[in-house]
Amino acid sequence: MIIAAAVYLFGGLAALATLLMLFQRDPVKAAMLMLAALLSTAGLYLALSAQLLAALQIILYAGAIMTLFIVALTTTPAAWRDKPAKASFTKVLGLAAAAVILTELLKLSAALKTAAFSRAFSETGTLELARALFGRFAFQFELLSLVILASIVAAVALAASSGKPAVQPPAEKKEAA
Amino acid sequence: MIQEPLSYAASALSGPLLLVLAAFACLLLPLFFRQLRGTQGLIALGATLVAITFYRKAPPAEFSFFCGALLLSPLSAYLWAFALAVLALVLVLSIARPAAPEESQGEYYFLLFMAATGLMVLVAAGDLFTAFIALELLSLPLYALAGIRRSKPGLEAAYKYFMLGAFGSGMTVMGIAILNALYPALTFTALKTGPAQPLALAGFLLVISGFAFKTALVPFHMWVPDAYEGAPTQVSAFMAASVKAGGVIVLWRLFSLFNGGPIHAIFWWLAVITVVSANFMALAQKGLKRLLAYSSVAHAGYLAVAFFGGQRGFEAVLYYLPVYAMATIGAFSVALLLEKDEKGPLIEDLAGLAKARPWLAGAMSAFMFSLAGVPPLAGFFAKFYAFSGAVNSGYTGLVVIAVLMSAVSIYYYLKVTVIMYMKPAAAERPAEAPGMIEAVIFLLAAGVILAGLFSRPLLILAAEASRWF
Repeated sequence: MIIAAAVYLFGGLAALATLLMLFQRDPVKAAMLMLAALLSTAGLYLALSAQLLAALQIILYAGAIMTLFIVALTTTPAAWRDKPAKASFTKVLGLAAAAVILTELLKLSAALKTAAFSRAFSETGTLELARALFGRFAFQFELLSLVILASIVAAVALAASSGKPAVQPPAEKKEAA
Repeated sequence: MIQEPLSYAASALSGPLLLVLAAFACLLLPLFFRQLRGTQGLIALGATLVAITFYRKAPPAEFSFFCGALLLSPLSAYLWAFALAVLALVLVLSIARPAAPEESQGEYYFLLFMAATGLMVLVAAGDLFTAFIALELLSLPLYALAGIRRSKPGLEAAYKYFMLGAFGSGMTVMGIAILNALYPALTFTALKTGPAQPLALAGFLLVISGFAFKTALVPFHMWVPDAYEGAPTQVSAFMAASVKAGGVIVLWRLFSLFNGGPIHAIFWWLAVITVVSANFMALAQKGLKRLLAYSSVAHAGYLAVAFFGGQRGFEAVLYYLPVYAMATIGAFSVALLLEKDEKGPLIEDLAGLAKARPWLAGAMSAFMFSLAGVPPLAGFFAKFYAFSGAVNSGYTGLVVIAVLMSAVSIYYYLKVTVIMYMKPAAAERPAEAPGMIEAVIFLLAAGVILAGLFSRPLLILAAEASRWF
C-alpha cells in the first residue's frame, strides 16, 4: 500500500516536473525542473527497492550530468539569449513525435502488465556489482580511474586560458551588445 | 634468472607504475615547489631513463594476471621496451623545444606519460575490454596534447581527432557489447575457441573498425593529416610511432582469431585500399608533416599486408614497428628543427638544406629512403620481411599491389631529397649550433642505417618476441 503510494507520488512528481520543464523558456529554470524530475525518478527506483539504481541516478544524472548542464549554460552565453524557435512546422513535428512515443509507451505498459516477473533481475544488487568491480574487473576498474584522471587534466589543460579570460559572463556580454 | 612469475611481474609492472608516479610528480611537484617549475621535462626524462635502466629481459613464458586482463611475456617486454624508447625520444624532443606553453608544462608531461602507460597496457592486454580501456587511456591524452598550445590549428586538430576518435571508440564499444552478449568471456583465447555465430561477425567488424581508426587504415584515416599537421610536432611524432603500434598489435590479435573467412577478406580490402589511396594522396602534399601523415597511413597498409604472412608476418610486424618508428620520429624531428609556425615546414622549405647543413640533409635522406624501402636501409628489410611472409602464404596479388604502390611512394620520398640537394635555398639559413634535436636525429639516422646493415640482432629479438603471441 505504502509502496504503491510512493510509486504514484514519485511518478506523478517526475511527470509534472518534466511537463513543466517542457514549457519553461528560461534554460536555468528548465535545468532545475529537470533536476527535480531526475530526483523523483530516483525516488521511484527507491520505492521499487532498487537502491543501487537510485544512488547511481542521483550521483550520475542529478549530480554529474546536471552540473555539466549548468556549467555548459554558464559558459555559453549564446544559450541565454537563444529562445526556443517559434516556427509552427517544428511544433507540429515535435507534437507528432511526442504522440508516437506516447502510444508506444502505452502499448509497452500494457505489454508489461502481462510480462512475468524475472527473479534474476532482483538479485543483481550492490553486492554483486561490488564483487565484479573489485574482484574480476579490479584491474580494468583501476585503469579507468587513470582514464578519468587523464580526461580531467586534459580538459583543464585545454580550457585553462593563458592570462585573459576566455569566457565573458553573460551580463557583460549583453551590455556590450 | 627469475623463476617466479610473481617476482617477474613485480619487476615488469614497476615500469608502468613508475611512469604513472612520474606523471603525478610532473603535474603536482612544481605546484608546491616553485624552484621545480620548468624542470618537469627533466623529471620526466629521468623517470623514463630509470624505467629503461631497470628493464629486465622476460623469462620465456607467458604469465596471465588479473583474470587474464594482462599478459606478460617476452612479447609484452619487447613492446614495452619499444614504448619506453619512443617515450624517451619524444621527451628529449620536448625538452629541447617545449611543445606546450609555459603554464601547461606539467599537464603536457602528465598526459604524455598517461598515453605511454595506455600504450603499454594496450599491447599487453589479454582481453578486448582491457584493450578498449587502454586504448582510451592512450587516445584521450593525445586528443588534448594535439591542442595543448590552444592555437587555432592545434585546437582544430584536437577537435577533429577527438570527434573521429570518439566515433571510433563508440564503434568499438558497440562491437564489444555485441561480443559480450554472445561469448562468455572476452579474452582473446576464449574468443578464438568460441563457436562462430553470424551476429559475432558484426561485433568483430565494429571492433576492427574502431581499432582501424586508431591505426589509420583507409577509410578510417580522415583524422590523420589534420591531426598530424596541427598537433605540436613532438606530439605528432609520438602519435605516428605509438598509436600505430598499439592499434596494429590489437588488430593482429583480432586477425589471428580467424582462419580465412570474411574477416580476412575485409583485411585484404583494407590493406589494398590503404596502400593504394594513401600513396596517391601523399603525392600531392606540400607540407612536410602532411606528407609524413599520409606516409604513416600507407605504412599502416603495409603492416596490414604483413598480417597475411602468419607467424612470419607477425615477426615482420614486430621488426617493422621500431624501424618505422625510428624513421618517422627522425623525419618529424627534422620538421621540428626547421618549423617556423605550427603547421611545420613545407617541403619547399627544405631547399638548399644540403648546402647549409649537409649532415642534417644526409640524415633526412636516410629517413626518407628508409620509409621508401631502399636497400640497405632498415626500411627495406622491414618491407621485405613483411611482404615475403605474405607471398609465402600465397597472397601474391596483394603483395604485387603493395610493391607497386611502394614504388609510387619512392616518388614523393625522393622529391624531398631532390629538393634538399638540387634546389637552391630561397633565403640564407642562419647558422645554428647543434643541439639536442640534432642529437636525436643523428642517433635515429644511425639506427636506421645500422638496423639495415645489421638487421639480424633486431630481427632475432622480434622473432623471439613473436613466438609468445
